[in-house]
Amino acid sequence: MKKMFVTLLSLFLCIGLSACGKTTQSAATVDSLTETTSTSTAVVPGSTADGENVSIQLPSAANHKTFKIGILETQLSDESTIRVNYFRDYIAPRYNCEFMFSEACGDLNSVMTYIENAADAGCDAILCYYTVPANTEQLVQLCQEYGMLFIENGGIVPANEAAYKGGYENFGGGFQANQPATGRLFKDYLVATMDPADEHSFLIVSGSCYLGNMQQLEITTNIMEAIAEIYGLTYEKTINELITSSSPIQAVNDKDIEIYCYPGLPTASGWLEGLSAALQTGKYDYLLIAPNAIGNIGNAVSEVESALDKDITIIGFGTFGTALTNAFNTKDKFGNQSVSMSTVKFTSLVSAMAFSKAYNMLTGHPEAVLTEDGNTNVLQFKMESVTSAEQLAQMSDWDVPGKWVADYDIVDQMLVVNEPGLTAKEIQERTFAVNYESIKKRRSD
Amino acid sequence: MADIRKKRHEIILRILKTIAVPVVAWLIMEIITRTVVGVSVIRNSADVKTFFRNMVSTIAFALAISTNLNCGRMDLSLGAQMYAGTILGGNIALVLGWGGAGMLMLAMLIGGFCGLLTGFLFVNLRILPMVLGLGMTLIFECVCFMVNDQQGVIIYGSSGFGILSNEAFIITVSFALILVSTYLFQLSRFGYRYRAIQGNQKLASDAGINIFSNCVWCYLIGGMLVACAGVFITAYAGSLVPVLGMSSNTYVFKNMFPMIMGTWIGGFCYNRQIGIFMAAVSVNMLTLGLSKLGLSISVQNMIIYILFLLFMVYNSNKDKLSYWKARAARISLAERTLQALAEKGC
Repeated sequence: MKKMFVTLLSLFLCIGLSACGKTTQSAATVDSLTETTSTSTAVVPGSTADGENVSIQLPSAANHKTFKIGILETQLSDESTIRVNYFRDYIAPRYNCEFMFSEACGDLNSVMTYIENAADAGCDAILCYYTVPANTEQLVQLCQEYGMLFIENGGIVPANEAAYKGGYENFGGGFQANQPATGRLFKDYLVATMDPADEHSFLIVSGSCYLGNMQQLEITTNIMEAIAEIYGLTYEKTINELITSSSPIQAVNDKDIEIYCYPGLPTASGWLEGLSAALQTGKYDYLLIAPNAIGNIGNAVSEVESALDKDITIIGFGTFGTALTNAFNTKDKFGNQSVSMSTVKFTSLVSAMAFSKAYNMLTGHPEAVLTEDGNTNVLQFKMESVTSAEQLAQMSDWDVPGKWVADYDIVDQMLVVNEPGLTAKEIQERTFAVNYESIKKRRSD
Repeated sequence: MADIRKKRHEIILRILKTIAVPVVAWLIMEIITRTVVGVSVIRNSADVKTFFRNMVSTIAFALAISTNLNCGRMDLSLGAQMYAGTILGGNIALVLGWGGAGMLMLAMLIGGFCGLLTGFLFVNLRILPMVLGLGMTLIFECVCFMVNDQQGVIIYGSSGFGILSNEAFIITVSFALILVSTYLFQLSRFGYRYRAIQGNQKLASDAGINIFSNCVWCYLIGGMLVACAGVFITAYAGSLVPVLGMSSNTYVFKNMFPMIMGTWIGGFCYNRQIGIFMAAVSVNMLTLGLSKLGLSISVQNMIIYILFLLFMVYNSNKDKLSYWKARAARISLAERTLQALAEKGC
């Protein structure tokens, strides 16, 4: 018996260890602390629409020493997996770069440790997805000590303004979603689909607004503004007061429309029960969600719909993945799509923006990351809205290995080595030009 | 005859004590929620489903913790075993199209295997259980990340998983858990040995009990139970996303309250499993009631953990209360005796 156990367990350990060391496009590779992808070859795996490997002619831009770029992740999700595939298999061979992916660095200590490790490993730049503005300047200075460039996923807020205006030569600025535009997607959808003559009540999931999450603040603000615009109502408190409350709060207004702001992290213990309890009051028929929680609430909402025999419309922020696909493909008790509208982004485009900043600086063109007044800029992209399962299926099929939205044409257009004199403003315009319509047109051509 | 009556009276008293805690918890929360927000703690079928689903996961998790903890082993990898069992079992069930019942079965099998692995390493390596638990937590958490592109398991929108939200199925699983665990730990040969080890490991070993195989079985049972809990946790949220950095331990600590309270209630009825069932009902009644009040999550958790702390203070000092009570009785007797003697002029 004991021998059998030993054999079984040894087998399990061997399988586990070999799986850990496997270098496929699987996300498992993200787990290793300092996984490095060497790319001296110009063979691009899965670069055709059929996913076949092809040899490519390196552009003149890549005639330089291999640049090594550290990718600092704060959480490992489907998005980080896409990012690994894009950087490692698509970008690295063509632009003569190596990428070193971190494990999930959830706090400042682990972020600093990774940066030190990256410096020891010879990294030239860090693309940082740790978005705590108060730490930006500290991290820029740390990278400066090690002679590395620093580019962050984020924008300018009072807490990191000094870093953007401090004239740090190693700071390439930030990249992020155009948050007001993301919020406006919600506002536009609500204004376009709701009739002021119909009476509705709203449960707004404000998520991390009270923690200062910019994206969720913009989305929630726009939702509140949209409701105010549709019904011509005025809130007793300011929108900012309502959405930054850390406790659930009723948004009292002069038109007596029921609006309830429900904050909290969707992963927190008791959060879902609280949301379900609020829905069970039977007052609310619109659930508007600022955090990415569509995958967490579908079942609870569906049970409340069945219990109260009440149709609840869900509109929320989302990303490409099984959760969103399932939500769009699931019908509720009333035969409606579970989620009416969600937002998505093309990860390859966001990654290309970050890469262009690093590459432009590494190839000696720091002016490409500066605004007209000489400060470090923030490159932005616009999210897209999705309203049907068909549209989601079409869009999610666009940004996959072999068919990246930000293909070589797009990336090349962001690099100064290919177009001397290219400015940050022009790069921004080109990024904004990559939208649903333009991608659809390119795909149909 | 008087003895029989006394015994019957004692049994009734024990039953009443056993059910008193959940009844009191429900009454308090019912009064508070009706007074403050004008609604009952449980008001419709959605509440019933939420209550039962959370209850079964609490029962399973608390039983799993107590399985090892009662023998002096604190297994900190239980949360990670839950993730591993649920994510691996759930994804296999999704691929095979086995639905909710299949997911439960597969998750328990894989959870049991994770427990078996941990137990086997423990008895062979003799590392401190907590230290081994931490190491195994990190391994299992990473394994969970390796599968399904870090998506964990997403059952929302998949067909065949509705059974996990069916009240009859949930109640059946709850009673099955209680009955099987009662048989295992109270009536089976394994249970007798388990309790002998629980009493004194050295004496049990000297008496010829294989304490190592018993320990491995405990880990295996613990793994199966946490995986069962994980399936119902996933059924409510619709998905279970893997975590890193020992975050899975949150579930272990969250279920310590019902486990400890369950052991205390179990003392009334001489059955730990029923005690844990009653504690699970009480704690979930409290949680559901607090969520009805519309309090922020931090306030809800603060209330629950303050109650946990107060309970721990009481539980740790209940002997002192008995001592003070007995002391007061002795003093009173002495005073009465002195008074009687004084009255007699002695």
